[in-house]
Amino acid sequence: MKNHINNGWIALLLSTLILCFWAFFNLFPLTFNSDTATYLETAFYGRVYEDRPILYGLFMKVISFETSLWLVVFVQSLLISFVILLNFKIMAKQSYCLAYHMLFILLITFGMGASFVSCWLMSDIFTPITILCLGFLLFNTNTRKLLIIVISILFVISIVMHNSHFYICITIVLILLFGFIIKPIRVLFKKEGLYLKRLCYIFTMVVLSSFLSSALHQAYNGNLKSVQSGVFFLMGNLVEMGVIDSYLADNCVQKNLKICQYKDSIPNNFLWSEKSPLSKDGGWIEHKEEYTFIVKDILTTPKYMIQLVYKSVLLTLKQFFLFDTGEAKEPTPRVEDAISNFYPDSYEHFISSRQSIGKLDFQLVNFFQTLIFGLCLLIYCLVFLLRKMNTRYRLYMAFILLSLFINAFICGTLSGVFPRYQDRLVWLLPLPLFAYIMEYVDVKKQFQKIKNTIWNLQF
Amino acid sequence: MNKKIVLILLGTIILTFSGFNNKYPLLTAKSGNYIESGFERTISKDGSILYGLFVAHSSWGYSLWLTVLTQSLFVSIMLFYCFKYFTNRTNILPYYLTCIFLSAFAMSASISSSSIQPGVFGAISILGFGLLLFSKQLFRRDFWIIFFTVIVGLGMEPAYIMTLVFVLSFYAILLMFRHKSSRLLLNLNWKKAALGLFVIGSSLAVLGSVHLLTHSEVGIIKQEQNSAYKSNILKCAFKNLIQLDLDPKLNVNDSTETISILFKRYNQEIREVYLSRQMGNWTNFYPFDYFNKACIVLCIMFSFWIIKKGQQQYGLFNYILLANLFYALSNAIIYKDNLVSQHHLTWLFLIPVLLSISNTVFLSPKNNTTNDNDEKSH
Repeated sequence: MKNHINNGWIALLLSTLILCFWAFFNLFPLTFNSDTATYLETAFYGRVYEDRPILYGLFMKVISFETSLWLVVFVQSLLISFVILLNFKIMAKQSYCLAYHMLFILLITFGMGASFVSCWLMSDIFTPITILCLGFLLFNTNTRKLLIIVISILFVISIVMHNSHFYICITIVLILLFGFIIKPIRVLFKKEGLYLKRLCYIFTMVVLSSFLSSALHQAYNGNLKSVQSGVFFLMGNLVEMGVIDSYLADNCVQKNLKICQYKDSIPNNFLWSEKSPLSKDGGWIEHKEEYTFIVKDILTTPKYMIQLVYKSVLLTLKQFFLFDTGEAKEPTPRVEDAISNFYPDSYEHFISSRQSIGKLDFQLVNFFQTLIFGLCLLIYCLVFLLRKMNTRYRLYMAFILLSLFINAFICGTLSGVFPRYQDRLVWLLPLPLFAYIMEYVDVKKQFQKIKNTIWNLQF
Repeated sequence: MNKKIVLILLGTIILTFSGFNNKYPLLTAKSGNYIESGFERTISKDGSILYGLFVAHSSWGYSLWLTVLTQSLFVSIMLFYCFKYFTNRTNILPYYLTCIFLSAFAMSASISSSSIQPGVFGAISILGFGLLLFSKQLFRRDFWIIFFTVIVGLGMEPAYIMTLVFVLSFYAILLMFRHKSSRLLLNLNWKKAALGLFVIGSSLAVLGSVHLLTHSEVGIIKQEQNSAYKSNILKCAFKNLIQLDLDPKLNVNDSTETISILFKRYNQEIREVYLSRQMGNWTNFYPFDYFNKACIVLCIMFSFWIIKKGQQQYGLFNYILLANLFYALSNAIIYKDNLVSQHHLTWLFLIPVLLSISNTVFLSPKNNTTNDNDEKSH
């Protein structure tokens, strides 16, 4: 027992350090576009912007002690290492092995995007934390109540970190709840300890997160609404899908819409481009009513709904297969100003980082990530086809795959197809395989078996 | 039966991986010519009209995604048939799936299937032709599917017809010395050789007819291509053979003709084109290129080991090797000094490797069962 506890602590510390690799290599935590600056501004100026929740900004401000962003990266890595360790412990149980755990951490750090996401000053790290907390709450057995409470709190907080998390979690929970209606699935769930009570508890946590988000926004903005900007992101995506072009071509004559004057020049980058109608005539707030009307009209008209469904399927597939890591181009002036204003002591280090001078290259990592993704997907397909592994592991793998798929669907359809949305989760694919190896596979024996088979190939 | 259909459809999605990863089907500088030739019913300056017609019709004039999904579906079906008819195992699905994933992620099958160019039909035609020549006994339904696919596939690019003429001639010579070369011949006999000749002839007839109907020309190679050689034909063939790089013409930008033709023919998708990684200049095939070449070398080395052990897949490897060699020669004859990449065909070397592995006891015996009654008869 003491060995297990020691191993746990060693695993936690080692994996935290290893996951900070890209920040060490870059000589500073990694930033993204102007988003990192926006998060810092929301926290330091105490303002809620329309396009994102405030909590991640507050997280950065508090954890950094307004002194050093390295603490943010360290805590992010620590949190993700903690939930990975817990998931290994609940799946492999008494067979937990430090060596395989470290092998997994090394694989996802150097061969996939886990380290990048951990070292990135973006809320995307909380997506895998959310999924792994959800996995823990679903699959844990005989766990101490204190640990369940801690993970539940972490789960709720993680959901509030990004707009997409609520939709991803509620969709997963609803799909699982739907499974209870079908008898064979219900029997399967019960056999593996997935009771309806547990799902209802998780559903409650997800709803609670929405209240937490509203409460935070009320405290900072005087406005209860948790997601301020959903309609704009959806509108942006409808533009990229081409649905808006069809709608305006059909409706500009009959309906008096302000956007019609720009219908032949709407840019793809609808949300952020200076040429976008969104940035003209008063900004986001002024257009909200009209865009809400357009979105509702599209969603209630069969012609556009068919187009939307077709595009949504395409976008989901695109997002599922687009998972490049390393979206860390040279920082924008806004990020430079934010670091200079809020972390003046760190500015010199920031400006001399590899990212600031354009010396980061993720080609090789992306190539390995693609190979590992393909290999994991193949193994998953073979496991389901041949009914290998036990039911519990197959359920866990199905859960990971479902999370990736729902993430692709929600982000692709409601926001847009960007590599970072899938990159933040794709490295979870090898986790169940390593847990299985920990518990069931005597690697030496299997290696000998493969060696014998190759030598004895019957021709 | 349902499981097989689901897996074939899954294979289709996996083979379209490169297109999804690019956020739009992969375009080349020549894609526009093919599209325009299909809609205008004119012979493309780069080959036959058949591929243009295929793009125009399979896309329903609406979306190029339907074209690449159709291409991937053809490849998926042909690979399934390969595993169905070239292996002794009853449970072929794991090996078929492995082939799909390895060829899509580790080799160039996915890039070939997801591109708007006729290269993918080279692999489809060669696999289909091999099935017609070398499989023991095809079910009637499968025979007709393969037959018509090969006839149409060959017509997509004149070089494929020429390649298979050379291949068939080689095997016809071998048939004369049957007793010395039985391992190479697999199940080939004169009847099947005649069938092969009929397929090639039919393909030529279809192609000629289409050209006649659309352009009052029967010839399948445009006059401008009969220009003088700058270098020796064998040298050109050798250069083609070692041209394993992924098509450099995958770099398109705003000024290429392809984009303006897309504006004209697929206007509702133009936003998607501009959002694609190709247009944003963030496609990068360099690490993949090297890995693909390494995989090709490994497959060929493994195949020579099969030859040494005398395994039956040796005949299939030989056929694929010949197809690659003659394809390089055919391109040298038709396109002269313009190098043509071999990557559309090189991923086929993976198939004899996996077929050979499938004949060993790799999985436990209880998994070597089938869940349905749809089995081939010998």
